[in-house]
Amino acid sequence: MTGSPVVFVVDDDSAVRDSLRRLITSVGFIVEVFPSAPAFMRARRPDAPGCLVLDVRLPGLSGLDLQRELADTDAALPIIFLTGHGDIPMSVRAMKAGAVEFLTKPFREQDLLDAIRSAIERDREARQERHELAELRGRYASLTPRERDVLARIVAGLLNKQIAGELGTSEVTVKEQRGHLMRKMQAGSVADLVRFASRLGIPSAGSGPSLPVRTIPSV
Amino acid sequence: MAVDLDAGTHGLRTALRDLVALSAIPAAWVGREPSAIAAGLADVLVGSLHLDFAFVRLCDPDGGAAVEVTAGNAWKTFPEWLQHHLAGAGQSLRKEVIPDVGVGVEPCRGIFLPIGVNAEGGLVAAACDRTDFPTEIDQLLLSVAANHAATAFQNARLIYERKRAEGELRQARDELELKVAERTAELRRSEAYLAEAQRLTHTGSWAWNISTGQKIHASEEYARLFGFDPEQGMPSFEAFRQRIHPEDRARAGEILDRAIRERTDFEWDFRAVLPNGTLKYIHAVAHPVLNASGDLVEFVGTNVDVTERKQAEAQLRESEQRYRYIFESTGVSIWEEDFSQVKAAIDELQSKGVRDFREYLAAHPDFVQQAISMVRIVDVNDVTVKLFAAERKNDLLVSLHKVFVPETQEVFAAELIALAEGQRSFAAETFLQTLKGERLTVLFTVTFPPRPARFDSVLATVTDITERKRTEESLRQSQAELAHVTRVTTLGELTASIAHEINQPLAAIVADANASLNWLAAAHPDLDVVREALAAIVQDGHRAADVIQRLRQLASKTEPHKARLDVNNLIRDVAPLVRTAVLSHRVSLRMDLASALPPVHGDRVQLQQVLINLVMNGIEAMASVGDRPPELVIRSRPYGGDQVLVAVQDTGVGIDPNTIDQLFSAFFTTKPGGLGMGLSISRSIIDAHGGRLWATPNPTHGATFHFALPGIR
Repeated sequence: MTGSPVVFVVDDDSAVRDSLRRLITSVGFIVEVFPSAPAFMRARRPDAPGCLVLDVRLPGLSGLDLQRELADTDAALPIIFLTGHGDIPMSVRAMKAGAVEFLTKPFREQDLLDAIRSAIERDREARQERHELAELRGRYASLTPRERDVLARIVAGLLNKQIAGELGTSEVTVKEQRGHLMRKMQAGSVADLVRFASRLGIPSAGSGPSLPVRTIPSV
Repeated sequence: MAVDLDAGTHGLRTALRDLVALSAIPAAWVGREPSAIAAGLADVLVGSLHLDFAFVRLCDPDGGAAVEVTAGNAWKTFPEWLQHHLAGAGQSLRKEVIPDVGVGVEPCRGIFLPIGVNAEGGLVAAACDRTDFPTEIDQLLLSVAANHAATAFQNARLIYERKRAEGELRQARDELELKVAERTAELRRSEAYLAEAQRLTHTGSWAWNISTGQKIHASEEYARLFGFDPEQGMPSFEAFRQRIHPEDRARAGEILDRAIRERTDFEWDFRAVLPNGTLKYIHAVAHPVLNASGDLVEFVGTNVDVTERKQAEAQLRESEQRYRYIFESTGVSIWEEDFSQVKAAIDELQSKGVRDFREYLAAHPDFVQQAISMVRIVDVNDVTVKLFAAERKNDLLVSLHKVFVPETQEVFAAELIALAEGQRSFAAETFLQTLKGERLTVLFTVTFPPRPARFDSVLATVTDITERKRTEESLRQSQAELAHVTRVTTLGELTASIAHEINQPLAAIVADANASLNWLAAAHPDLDVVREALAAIVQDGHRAADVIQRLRQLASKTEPHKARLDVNNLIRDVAPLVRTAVLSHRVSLRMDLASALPPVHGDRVQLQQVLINLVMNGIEAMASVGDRPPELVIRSRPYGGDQVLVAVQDTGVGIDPNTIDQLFSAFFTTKPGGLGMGLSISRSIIDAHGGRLWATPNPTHGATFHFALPGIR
């Protein structure tokens, strides 16, 4: 399912670009370099964990612009920003927008490689997360509407009897539907189900006590 | 005897009758022509005395032509005889009785009778066939008749002479009258000329009789001088006197009295006041006229209106004073110099065919030396005395050599060339020295008179600009320092850009070095990659060094150093320095550079500073504009013949027409944090390069700043 990690480099300065390619290759990563943001956006990316080493100041579409555009797609990538002359407001903006690291040229090799490794790890996790989420979504999609109603109330912590009361059905029926949806969702326990619901962002329903809902981490 | 007596009485009576008849004749001859008298006498002799033939010759005692007349029927022989006789007798003619003149049948007797002594009055000859001819009575009657005729002839002559004299006299009188008429006309003409001349020269003439105290002559112009109309008749002596200026009137009397006393010529100037208040200046000259006994009779004189001359003199005096005042009081040192000898020397060289004086002076430096000695210093003003530290004026009126230093000779040579080429003026900056040896930097100007003119008074001015030069020098230094400060300030603004420019190659170097280390640490190092990385390191090292070199130039405080520059290279060198500023403001920067531009002579750092400044201004002008893309174009073009134009065009807010004049003033700024020195310094830099910096609004948006620099051919 996943290949070797790839490091993408976008820098308009060919000297910097090529030196980055040589350096990152030298530590065993696969590197793909691009002279501009649009060139990168146009390229097909392999199905593998990766990260983006991005120069902040680029002609045309800048590094920060590219970060914003990437965030709007499914193909989000952890970004390591490079800058010739970093200023604090710009690095704050970049970090807030989820940058892994903000390095000022000339950077220390270790800082860059650590950042790359950490970014790839993060991307690997994110990709895993995205994969699991897609699984969950598929399972959730297989539920009948009634099963989803029951699920929302289980997650909200209602008892079968209460659910039956709310939905205007019998406790037996709820019990039966509960068994179906637990199986479909591949949840071993109510705790698993709550965690799944939370990842899917399904709001709890009913008047029972609600549980704190974790937000889906953005990548 | 009785018969004889009777006959004698009868003869006497007849003789008396004839005598009476003869006596009446002269009265009839009065006023007759001599020829008529002679003819009348001949007729009387033939008719009254009953002679057969008469010949009358009347001589003019004054040597006039004689008149000869014959009457009666004579024998042919008598006139022949008479002619013969007259021819033979010559001047000694006597009374003669010729017994028989005829050679014919009838006897004929004749008489020859001179009139006056030696026949001065003429002669009478008569012939008759009477045998007693000529009787004594005949001779007496002939003699009386002849004398009467001679007298009448004499009278006739006198009358004739008188008439002739009268005629001549009449003619002479007529001629005289004609001459008088001619002379009168001439006199009138010359009087008219005189009057005209008097009018033109404003000269009036007069004559004044001493004994009567009256003006006996005053010309029309004389009257006009005093404001009288001559048509209205000549005013009185007193009327004239009243028009003399009251202050001059008493003096008029004194001068006249003394002239009368000493009988001398006199001359004086006085003023006349006319009724309309006009003041006239009159110059009078007079001469005494003495009679035969040496008594003073009258004065004749002329009065000339010299008002205009007086005014001109006053103006001239004023002008002279003004000139003197300027000469003395002006703050400029003025030298009045006599260039006559120099001019003559130049003229002589030119007449010998010297045309190119530049060439000539280069070949004959000694001529410059001689020419300096030839200049005679006529006068200098007080400023000059002070400026050249002289104790008195005369110390300077010696020779130009005293104030010249070696450098001055070059300028003097140029002045000689200007003079030789007929230029009207010459100015140059040069050095001179004071009499105390202190060196002066001066501005020297000289104005030559137009040709042909005398060169004995040429004015040269010397302005001491030593202090100004010092000030200029220090101003130049201050400006250079200020330019440096603004440059460093600009560099501060460019820090981000500069850091980027340096950090880029540094980052590449570090990355490549690390990559190389990594590869070398591998079990099987890929040396090709290492080589590639090392080559890149070398390249990037140079790149960083280049950037730093450029920065050091910009930040350095070295003296401006001008060299031959390519404007396009200048623009290309600036581009990386402003790249970050351009990028961070999302400005699109375009370069539109013309090829084949002439190089310029300039200081690279300063010109880059100007360009950076214009670019930064353009970027800032576009920062607040949101409705159109910020676009900056740097353009280079050939301009106005041999100049090079650089233009920086933006799409910013443009120039406020109210402040366009102040754009280039120091401390004028539209930026909140701006110092307002950028454009001011930029302009002074461009000025110092002999160029021009200006701004124009664009047709649509924004502004364009241009500078033009002289190109090197």
